Amino acid sequence: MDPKVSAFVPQPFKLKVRGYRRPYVPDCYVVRCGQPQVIEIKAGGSLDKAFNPQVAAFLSWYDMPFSVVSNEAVLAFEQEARHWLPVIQLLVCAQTMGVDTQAQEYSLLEKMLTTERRQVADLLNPGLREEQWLDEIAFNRLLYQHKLQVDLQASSLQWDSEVRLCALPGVIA
Amino acid sequence: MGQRGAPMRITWRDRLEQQPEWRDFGHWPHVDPASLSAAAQKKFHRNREIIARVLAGESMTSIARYFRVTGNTLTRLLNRCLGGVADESPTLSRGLIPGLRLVPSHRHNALGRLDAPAGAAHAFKHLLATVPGLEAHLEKRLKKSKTPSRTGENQTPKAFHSAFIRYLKGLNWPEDTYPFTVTSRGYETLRTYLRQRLTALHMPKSTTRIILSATVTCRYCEEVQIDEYTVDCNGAVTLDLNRYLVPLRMARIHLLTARDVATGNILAYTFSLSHAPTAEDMLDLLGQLVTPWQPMALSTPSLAYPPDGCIPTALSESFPRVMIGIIRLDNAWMHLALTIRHYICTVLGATLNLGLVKYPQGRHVIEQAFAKLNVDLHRLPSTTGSHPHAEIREPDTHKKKAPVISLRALEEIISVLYVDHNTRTSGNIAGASPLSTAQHQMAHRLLPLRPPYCDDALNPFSETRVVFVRQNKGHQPHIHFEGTRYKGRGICDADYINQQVIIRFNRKDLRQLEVTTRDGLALGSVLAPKTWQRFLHGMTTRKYINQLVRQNFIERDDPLGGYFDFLLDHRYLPTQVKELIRVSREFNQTTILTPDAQPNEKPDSQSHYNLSNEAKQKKALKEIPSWHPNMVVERK
Repeated sequence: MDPKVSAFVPQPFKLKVRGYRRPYVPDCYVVRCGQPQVIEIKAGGSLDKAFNPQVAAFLSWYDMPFSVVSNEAVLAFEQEARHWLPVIQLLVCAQTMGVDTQAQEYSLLEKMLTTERRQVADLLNPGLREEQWLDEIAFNRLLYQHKLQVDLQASSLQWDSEVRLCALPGVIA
Repeated sequence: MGQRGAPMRITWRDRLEQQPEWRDFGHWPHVDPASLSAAAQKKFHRNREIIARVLAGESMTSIARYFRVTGNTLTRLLNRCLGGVADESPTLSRGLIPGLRLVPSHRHNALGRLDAPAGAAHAFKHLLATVPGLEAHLEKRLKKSKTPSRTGENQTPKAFHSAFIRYLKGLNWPEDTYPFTVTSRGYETLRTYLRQRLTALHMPKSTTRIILSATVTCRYCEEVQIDEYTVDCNGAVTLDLNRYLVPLRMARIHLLTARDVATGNILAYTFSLSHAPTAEDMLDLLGQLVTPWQPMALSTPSLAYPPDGCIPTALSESFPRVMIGIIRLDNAWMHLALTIRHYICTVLGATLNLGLVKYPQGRHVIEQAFAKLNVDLHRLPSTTGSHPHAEIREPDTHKKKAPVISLRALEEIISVLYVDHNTRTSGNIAGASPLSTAQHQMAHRLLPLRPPYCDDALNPFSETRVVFVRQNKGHQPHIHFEGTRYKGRGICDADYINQQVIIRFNRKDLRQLEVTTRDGLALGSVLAPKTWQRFLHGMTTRKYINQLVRQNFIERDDPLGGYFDFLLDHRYLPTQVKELIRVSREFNQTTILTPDAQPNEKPDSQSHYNLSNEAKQKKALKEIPSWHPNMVVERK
């Protein structure tokens, strides 16, 4: 997951391109490090030769770089994206409800400070799912903020997944 | 590069220097000698032995002496197999086949004339290459005929040949050369050319792009597939008219089902009695994914749920809270509704995947569920089979009467079959049952769970809208919503006239709305007119009724009663019987009784029904009595 991406909108707008009857809808609009970009996902990673420069020139007028990404390049990250999906879902649900988990986050980080590596089951109790929902949200938030690290490329988040403490800015009292 | 524009050709020695891998004869492609004629086989084996010896390093002179051929023959054979254009791959083993034409043939000499005949071999190809615009002209006619058009032409060989001759005459082609020097004027050549080009143009293009992912879904509720299915069986209902039971045939009902991909569990199902499944039916199904399943009270004799069988949401309190990752639907119009997309993406937080158009293979799990259901449903006598010519299809002679199987029994059968499916072991999941697999995953995997206290927020039928408060001269302020004026004390304030307010309503009960200002101040509830309050009704019913009122089929004064009368008038149409059932079930849920409504009565014994007196029966059927929802008696 790219921590520099702060916003993502699929099929953001519709454009009329000269010489083409149907309007064009790009695949996604991404804000990375504060810079908006427009991305088209296409098989083989190539667009119509007459089409591409028109769209790129129009979007560059609005300071939005336009790029074409191949299906294959996107599908290469599909496994990791699907492992991150439940983490993102929980965080969106918590944000909608306005849940505050600062205290739980500090508690988890304190637990991690004693040893560098732990498993998820050491931080969260598998038998207390209903009671520790806030702790689970706090854990997922620390993952998203890259304060804790779990390898989600090969497998999804499990009780025996290894958790590592990332380098923290400043000192935790 | 040789001549200007011509590709560079190399000899067999140059090829072996540039691509030394061909020195190993074992790497050459295999040609099956049995596919050649007997005479060709002999020469083929000889050629093969020659090449093998040359590549092994034997002297060319000794090989030529042994096989009694000249050195030129050896060189020609080696160039045929290994030489050629530098950028193209060599012919290799195909060059060993005697008599095989490797290079497309072309005409070397100029076309003959009457005084200097030179044959017509490859003459048409020569014309295509040399006559300016001829090939483009013929190709244009072919491409035009490929796509059917109202102003187009179906290309025939005769017309195609005529166009070819006309084009040449238009260029003042000399009459003493091909094709005018042959009797047929090249007709057979044109006919062959036409057939080859049309075959090539109509060849389907093979897709090379990657559409579906190769990842395997293994977590419970990681991916859920949903689809609708028209049940392959007709059902029946019984109408109580003046205490006469009238059996009626129903049109086929629709079944919406959600199935988990990883474990194969049937997660939810619902029946749609509308003409076609609507967004409300889909919302009903989605709502069932997050609420505990309740078994039906089975009334069909000998029908029972398997022991410990259920839908997973009934297993424990945690199961309805599992967050769904991806919900896969098809591109039906209903699925594109904003309410559906809002509920799936915003409320459930899932990813909506509509897949490719006309590609049911992407949802093979749910399609398989329907196929399994058909195995048992096709046992019923009123089945429609899988296609119009199925042998098991209900014969037309039986269609004059209502089927034996009732709607209620059909729903119970499907419910039991689905629960039974969840308890059966399956080879796909290591010999375990879908239900046990889900329980195992809940106990041992970190499944993402929704918070335990947000059930109200998951109600799929609760919606909000921004509307205006209006007032006509001399009348009470009102809110216009779905063709009706809602009034209430809360909006009777001059400050709110022509102002926007937010209404919250239940799609399944439009009799009242909750009103709040844009600032969040609650203004209470507003009610629909008394004529609309008699019975509970939802958005679908309201829209149908408004449509019929606009078309002057029913009066605006009593919309609910008029609609029910309309349905009774058309009760002999199977599609209207379905609508009658749907409306009666909806009206039967009414909690507020009005003075006009009949008390809920059920027929207590068969003796109340006079079935033997035909004259009285006919008279009773002609007179439509005052309606009430209990007219529709579902046969048990």
